Amino acid sequence: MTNLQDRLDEFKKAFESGAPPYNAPPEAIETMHRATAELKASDIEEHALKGRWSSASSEDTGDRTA
Amino acid sequence: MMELEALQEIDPEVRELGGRIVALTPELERYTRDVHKKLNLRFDILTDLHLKTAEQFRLVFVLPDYLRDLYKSFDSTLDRFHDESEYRLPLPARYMIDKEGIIRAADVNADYTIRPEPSETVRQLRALVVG
Repeated sequence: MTNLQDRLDEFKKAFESGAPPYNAPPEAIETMHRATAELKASDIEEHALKGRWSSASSEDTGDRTA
Repeated sequence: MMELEALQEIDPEVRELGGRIVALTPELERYTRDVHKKLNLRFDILTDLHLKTAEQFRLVFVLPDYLRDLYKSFDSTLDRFHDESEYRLPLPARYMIDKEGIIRAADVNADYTIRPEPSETVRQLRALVVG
């Protein structure tokens, strides 16, 4: 079975080639890259709930979801 | 879609270890129903209506105007799919949460083209269960 990331990479390559069946225009691809880069550069990943790994030894140290 | 398919592949192992997979999306059920049927998923896709859960996980962002316009040009009108006008989306994320509601593993990535391997999720679950 192929890895998920390999499958995603294959799709990305096909999509960004601009060829059928997706026929994605280069300017659309550029726009999507820009948006991803901006999001990546923001601090949103840092602030997302992730649990607290550094002190994960105790039952009560993780971020609670409920 | 590809990720759901990949998660379907680990579903038996996850169940065997006592876990349950659940997918959350802001999309309304009338749109997710077809995907669920097409992939013949054995786990649920739940609608996170108006991104209430994603907000609690602090995953929500607003699409910039230029991206909103691009989505619209693809006829991907999020206001219709999500029943809200703000064009917000959650970051793609995968969590492993225990019965107490404590996050035991998390993968959050602003780049939606990069996803963690389901086999890694199984490994983490196994480590948690076996200890």
